[in-house]
Amino acid sequence: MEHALGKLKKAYTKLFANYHAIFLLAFIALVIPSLAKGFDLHGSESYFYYRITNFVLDNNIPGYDFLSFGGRAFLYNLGSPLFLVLINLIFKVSVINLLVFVPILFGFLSVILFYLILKRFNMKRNVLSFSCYILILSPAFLYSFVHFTSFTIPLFLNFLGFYLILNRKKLFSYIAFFIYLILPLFGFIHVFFGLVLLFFHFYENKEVRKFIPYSTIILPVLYLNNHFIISGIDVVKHELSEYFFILGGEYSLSIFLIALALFGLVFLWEKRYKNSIYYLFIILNLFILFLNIKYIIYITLISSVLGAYGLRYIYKLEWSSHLIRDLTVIILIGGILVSGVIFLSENSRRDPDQSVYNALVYIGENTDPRDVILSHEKYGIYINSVSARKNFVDINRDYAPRADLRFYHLNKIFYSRDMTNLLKIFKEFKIDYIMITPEMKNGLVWSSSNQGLLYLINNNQEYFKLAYNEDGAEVWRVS
Amino acid sequence: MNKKSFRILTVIFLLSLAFNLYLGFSSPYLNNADSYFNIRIIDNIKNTGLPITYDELSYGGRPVITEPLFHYLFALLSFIPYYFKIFPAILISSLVIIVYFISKEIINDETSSLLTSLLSGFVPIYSNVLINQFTPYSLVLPLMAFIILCFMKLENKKYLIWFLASSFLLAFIHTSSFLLLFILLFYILLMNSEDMQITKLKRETLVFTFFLILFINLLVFRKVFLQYGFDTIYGNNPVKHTFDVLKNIYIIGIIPLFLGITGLYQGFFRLKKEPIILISSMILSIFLLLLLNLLDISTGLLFLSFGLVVASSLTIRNFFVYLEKTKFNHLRKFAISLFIFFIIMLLIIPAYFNYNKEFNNLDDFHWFKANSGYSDVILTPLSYGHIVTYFSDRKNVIDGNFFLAPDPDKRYYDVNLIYSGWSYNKALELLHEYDVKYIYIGEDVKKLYNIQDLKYIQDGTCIRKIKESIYEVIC
Repeated sequence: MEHALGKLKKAYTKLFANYHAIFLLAFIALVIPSLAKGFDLHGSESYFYYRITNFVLDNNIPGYDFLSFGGRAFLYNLGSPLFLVLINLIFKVSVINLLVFVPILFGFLSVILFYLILKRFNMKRNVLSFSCYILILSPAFLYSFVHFTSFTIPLFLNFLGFYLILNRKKLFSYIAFFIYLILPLFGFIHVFFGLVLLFFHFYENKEVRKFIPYSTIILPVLYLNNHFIISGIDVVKHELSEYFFILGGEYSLSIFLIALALFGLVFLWEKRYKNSIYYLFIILNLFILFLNIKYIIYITLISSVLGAYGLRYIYKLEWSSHLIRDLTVIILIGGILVSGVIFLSENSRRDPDQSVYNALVYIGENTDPRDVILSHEKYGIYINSVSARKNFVDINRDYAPRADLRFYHLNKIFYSRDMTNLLKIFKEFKIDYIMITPEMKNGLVWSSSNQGLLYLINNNQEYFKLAYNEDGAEVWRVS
Repeated sequence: MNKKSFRILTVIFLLSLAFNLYLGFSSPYLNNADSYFNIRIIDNIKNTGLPITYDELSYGGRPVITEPLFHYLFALLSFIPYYFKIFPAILISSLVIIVYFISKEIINDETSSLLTSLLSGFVPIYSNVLINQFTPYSLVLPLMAFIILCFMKLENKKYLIWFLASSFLLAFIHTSSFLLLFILLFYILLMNSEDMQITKLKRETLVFTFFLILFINLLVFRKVFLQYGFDTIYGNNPVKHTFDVLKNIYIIGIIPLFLGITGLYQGFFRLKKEPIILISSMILSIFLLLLLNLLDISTGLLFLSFGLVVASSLTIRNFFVYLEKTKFNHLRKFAISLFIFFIIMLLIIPAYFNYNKEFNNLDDFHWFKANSGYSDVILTPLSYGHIVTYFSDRKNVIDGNFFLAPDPDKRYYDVNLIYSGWSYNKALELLHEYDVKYIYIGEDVKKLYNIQDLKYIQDGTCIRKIKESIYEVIC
């Protein structure tokens, strides 16, 4: 067993610690979902950026969004749409192609930059390669780069900026400064991570004065925050379970990565207070995560490195049973691998699927541009982007007008059998159409065909007319 | 083990087996409708090679998720007639052998270990939870006991391998593997609080077992976790249990309760023996899980009774040690006979009378199969849900498989409302909501809801009686 594992270790170093293997895995992981569902837009965020980018291309930066929540102030982070507009204007690449291929390209480049950054820190080859593998298989990284999201560009820019700074060339540091200067456009968390990382890097190298120019970036951050965000810093409400992938988080940390990262911390603690700077860095980042769950993407970066050290620490520990040691390591690696595979398999189906897409196209072609379409909030952005119609609610809840009231009414609409009250709400919010999808009928909203709104629309022909019904997707007109 | 002990242990095993088989075969039906769900899964494995992943009949159609090993194992044995009665009985009876070895490990005394194993063969709660039921618990309990035995003897490499293999199997058999996690966590806690050293090997094994069980459960239940997130641990169970202290003392068994608590006290506070700490961890973790409503009462009591039986061994041994020091040492055999007499009176007889046949007559469900349409939905209380799907081959409104079930809370409430409510209109609205075609209201159902008949039946014409215990919804 011992001999075989020794051989295995050598094989790992030879095969998997090789950067070709890392980049190949990154490429495969990033491309698999697109190969499975086709190279097309996928998920609410991609469709959202598709609409906003086209809107900016046609009308410059607007002050008002007429479609989301029936109409609302245009309070979105403009970094990603402006980047897409610029690339579109310069290279004449269609917005759809940009939204499909930019994530794959930037994801791949991010892995290369991550590898190069870690290499600069003289990490051991096995730790370096395992950090990369953990990152590639982490749900947060895959979420950022298998399709276009709000993380796609700023995460890449953060990698690029830090890498340029590590190169210690004057020209590169100017470019890096420019990159950090535009990061506030993508949201508070991205620039915060970038600046904190820079500060700790300069502090560690006893070059704090070099941080002074970068500290001025705080000014545009403050300006943007005051201009757009009333509450100052970006605080997003969330639950504890959202920190854990599968247990409630869509793209959070795998329990096995957390375990490995904890072992990594134990490894750091071996040098006690010599590593104080790292503890401070980790604590500060955890504090921001506590305020904003989206920061999990940066915690994943930190955990990837800690996890790799944790794995090495576990392996190097003196175990009384090598069998248990090897099995434990296999389980931990298996856990990380499985998290990545589960994320990829969950994201390899088209979203929205064909039946919903056809219904959305029908709405776009057969309704008045001023009509309001009611559906589950999951479909709100699709109603805006594919049908180009107003939705009742969508997932961009922050700063939406009367959002709590709308969601309260939505709940009433879905589950109540009170026709009078239903018509009153429809009148108040001027709802003209209802879109019902197979997923809504199969558990997302209802669990039986005679529940709440489903019962009412099927039994009140004078108020509801079935306008479209294909493959389980229905569109009802409210008379 | 000497030959005499071996012979006595064999007799105890056979007695326990005979008892379990006698009760099991006293009824033509299995107890607990969930037994029939397990048989359906095995039938599906036999027909398709795979367990049921989507059940067309349960809740009118819903995805199903199960840990497959138990069903595959029994699918292999299913060529034997009555496999679903014989093998669970053998597994339950095997506890006497495992308990003997655990006791021996704790007290190192033949007589006391044999008496403890006798105790373990006839705990009244088995009649409620295990006997004549085809449930994974009949495999989980002996396996868990075996894992605990292996953990006690972990320094022996053979037992280490057995421990690892059994933990792996347990994780693929039932979610109760999480209970093992809690037991081991409490073990670490208690050992530390008592300033006792856990050997390096045990610490390593604990770390490994923790990740193994977590890994396998996340893998098997990933869809459930993705849907319910952290709430998965509550099992989506709409039934809220009430705790009846006297009844629970009775079904745990007076002897294990009394001797077990005394044994725990002696072991934990006086002897501070590691195996007793392990058993204490088991009992404490069960209490915690019951308190947090993470474990249903009958399952909790089942494991609790096991822990108490094992802890009893210490009291029994101490009693005989004490007897040796008195003038009554010559009465040792009499004391053993008296002890056996008490076991018969306070365990075996209560276990016998505690056994109730849950289903006496299921002819109506055969009638449904012969006289209803294939897509008809039949309303029954929760406890009959799997009977509808197994015997009638028709859709039910609710059954005991709550993971991934659509709105079990609401359905449970609505079904109770239809049976015990007063409003005809409300009942009809709910019957329409679930597309119910037939309502089953047998004598057991009337007893369950404490009703003579549906209270609103005179208020309309849409629900008509077609058999003594069956109503049809006609409009």
